[in-house]
Amino acid sequence: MKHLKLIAFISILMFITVAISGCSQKKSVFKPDNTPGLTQPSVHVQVIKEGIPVKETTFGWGMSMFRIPEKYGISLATLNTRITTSLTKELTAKGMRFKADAPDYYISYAVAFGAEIHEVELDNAYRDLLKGHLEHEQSDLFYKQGVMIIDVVERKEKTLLWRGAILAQPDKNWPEERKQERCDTAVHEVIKYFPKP
Amino acid sequence: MKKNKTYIALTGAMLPFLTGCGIVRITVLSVAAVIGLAGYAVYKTGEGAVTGVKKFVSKTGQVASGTSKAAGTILFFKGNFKTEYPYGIRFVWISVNTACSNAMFTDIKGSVDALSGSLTAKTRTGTEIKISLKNVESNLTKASIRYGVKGNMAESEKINNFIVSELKLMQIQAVQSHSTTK
Repeated sequence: MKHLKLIAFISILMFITVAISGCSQKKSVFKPDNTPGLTQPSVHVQVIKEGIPVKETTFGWGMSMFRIPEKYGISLATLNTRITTSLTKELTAKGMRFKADAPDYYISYAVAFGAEIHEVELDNAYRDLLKGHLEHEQSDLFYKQGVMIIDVVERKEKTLLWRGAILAQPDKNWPEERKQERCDTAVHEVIKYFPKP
Repeated sequence: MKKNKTYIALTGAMLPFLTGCGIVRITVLSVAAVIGLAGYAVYKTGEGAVTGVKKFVSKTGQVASGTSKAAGTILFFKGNFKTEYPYGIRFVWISVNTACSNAMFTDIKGSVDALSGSLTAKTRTGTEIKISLKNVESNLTKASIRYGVKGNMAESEKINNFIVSELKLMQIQAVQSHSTTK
């Protein structure tokens, strides 16, 4: 009985909190459905601006950032082709169109494998792409393990509209012929939360 | 009366789930667990992967942690392939020149001083390659490689690999020369 009273009291408090704050949570963590070749995956949506128009907008490629130790012998150009192929597929499915010059949005990405990326480093690397300070909450995050971070930047205003990331431990022995499939799945798991989870 | 209270409690507990508020949802679940309502689980994946480590970041935003420097950062933006070499500019300049010569590029021209350097070369098909260097520290040089007018990541990556191989070779030679002199 005491427990029920406590639950009722907490529930009322929650109701008031939701009513007052409007539930303005910005960051979210999601568990991907199925990610072949990736263990312990998690998807993190770090930045979401309200009301991002998607349909009939255009996108082009912004910054590509890589932090991958040389010992893995990974071709960055091949990786870039894989990621941009997956991104094109996902974004066009959402009604966007690729435009190399002067698009509405720049799509940037960062990839680390066997290394870490700090959010501050990422933002610093984007200096040419973004104006002034980033208008999102700076968190104290190190993206560990394997990570792919996808950013959507408004080209004219140079503002970061959306940032999503997938963190996972990639299988180092994953067959070459299935790497595109792995990349497609990882990109899909992140982009499915764009523009809003 | 009892039934009414139970109903209110359950409705209240369900509210965060219906509104989609993650924070409240997790809090409700945690409280529920604490007070003995079994069967709920808080999804905590990703906590091990994303960790708070504020102490490693200086006021300038430079990461002081050694781990992040274990792998160099490579950026590709607007056709420019940007990287860093953990060597002084003089050492890098010699390697860049040798790498371009070994790659049989033609019209290799450029200049360097203690602060910066710039080199241009041409491929067999006449595509221009531009390599810019900037001295960051005594043992750190930033480089930008541009292949052709629009830039090309695959070709720039190959040129970078030529330079890295040359740097490694030069370092081995320098070490051998040093030990022979001793």
